[in-house]
Amino acid sequence: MNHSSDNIMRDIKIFYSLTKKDLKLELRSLSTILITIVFAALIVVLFNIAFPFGVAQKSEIISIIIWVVFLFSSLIVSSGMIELDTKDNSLELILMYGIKSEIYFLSKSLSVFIILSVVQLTIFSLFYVLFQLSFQNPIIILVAILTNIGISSITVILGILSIRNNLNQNILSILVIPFTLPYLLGAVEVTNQLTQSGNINYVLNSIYALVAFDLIFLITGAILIGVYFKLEK
Amino acid sequence: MIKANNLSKSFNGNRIFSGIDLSIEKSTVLGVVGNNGSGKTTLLKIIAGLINSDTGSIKLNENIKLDFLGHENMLYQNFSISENIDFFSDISGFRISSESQDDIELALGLKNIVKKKISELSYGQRKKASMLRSLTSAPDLLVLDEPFSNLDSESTDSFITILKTLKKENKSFIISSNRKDIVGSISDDLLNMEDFNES
Repeated sequence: MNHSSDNIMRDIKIFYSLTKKDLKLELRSLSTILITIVFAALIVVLFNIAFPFGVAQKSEIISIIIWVVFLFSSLIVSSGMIELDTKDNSLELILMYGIKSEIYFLSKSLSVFIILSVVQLTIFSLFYVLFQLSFQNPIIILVAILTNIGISSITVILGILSIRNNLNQNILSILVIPFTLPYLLGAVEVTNQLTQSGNINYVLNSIYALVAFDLIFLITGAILIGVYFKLEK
Repeated sequence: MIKANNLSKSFNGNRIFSGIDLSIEKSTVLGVVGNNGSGKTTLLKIIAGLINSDTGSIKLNENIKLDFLGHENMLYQNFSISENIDFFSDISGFRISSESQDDIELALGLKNIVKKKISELSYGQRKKASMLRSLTSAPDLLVLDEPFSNLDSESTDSFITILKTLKKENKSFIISSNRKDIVGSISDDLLNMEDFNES
């Protein structure tokens, strides 16, 4: 009993150390956050110019744009966070110390989630200012968090799988689309409903689907990364 | 401490080496020599558990702490030397006493720059920083891949002195190098990779 609780405490400590390291390195350079925010802001401004106010079905289009901008921002964040460990091969040391692959995957997903939340806040603020899009319904925050968890885990899975692939990070942007399409459709639908009617009853099923997707990607990611690291040896 | 039998490795169908047997006891140094491409790094990574061999097996005594120092410095560039040591100690769960760390810092000439970021250090200083990192995890067996490359003679001498001191404290080392003269002078046994390469 004591032995297993010691192991759990050690896993929690390692998880904390890995996440703290990622965030500390990112906050020190701010390279990934700044690049992603500039990228996202540029797209939002371009769309603002491309869609004059009063265009028919503006809010439907905006709901799609929000999540597409967010998806591609997540690719930049995920690549940047994974590169922290691969640039000077620190990942080899981390694995040599016997760190569990699922702990590594979950900590990396949490780091991406936190950085992506900052980016997400910026994107939402830009949409509020430029498109007068209302985010008054607090459920939108829940949807943003659920979508963020899923996209963080998917991009981390694909990012880790492409570390030693010859196509490297270039393949990430292609692979991520089929995986996230059903996910994004749900998020777009919920955003659409909430910004228009604000009625939660219309969106409950989509929210359940987002929760299910999150669990599926977190669990399969933890298993898949373990298998991948073993095969890569 | 560690025993390996019949190790072999191929990449893309090309056999790099085969039939390697080795054994390392406490307080010994095994030198691994050979030309570039002879498979020294591959062998060391197999011993460190970073990659698998195609054939053979490695048996490590229980509770043996092993650390690896590779070609790359394996350190975070935006962290200082001490932050890197703190992070890797946290995840490995091992760390030498602060007095011992002070002694190694002094011997490697890093005492006054441990708070500097890795990206601000010269190549030689980075190499010494990664040596310090590997030594602070208190390994019983330290696997060192080309530790003397691009080091000035003063740093090489101080590193050899540290290795000899640690050897007296029952530590063991596997050291690969092109420089047979240096490795030969500190090794108890030499393994020439060319004897195991496919001709």
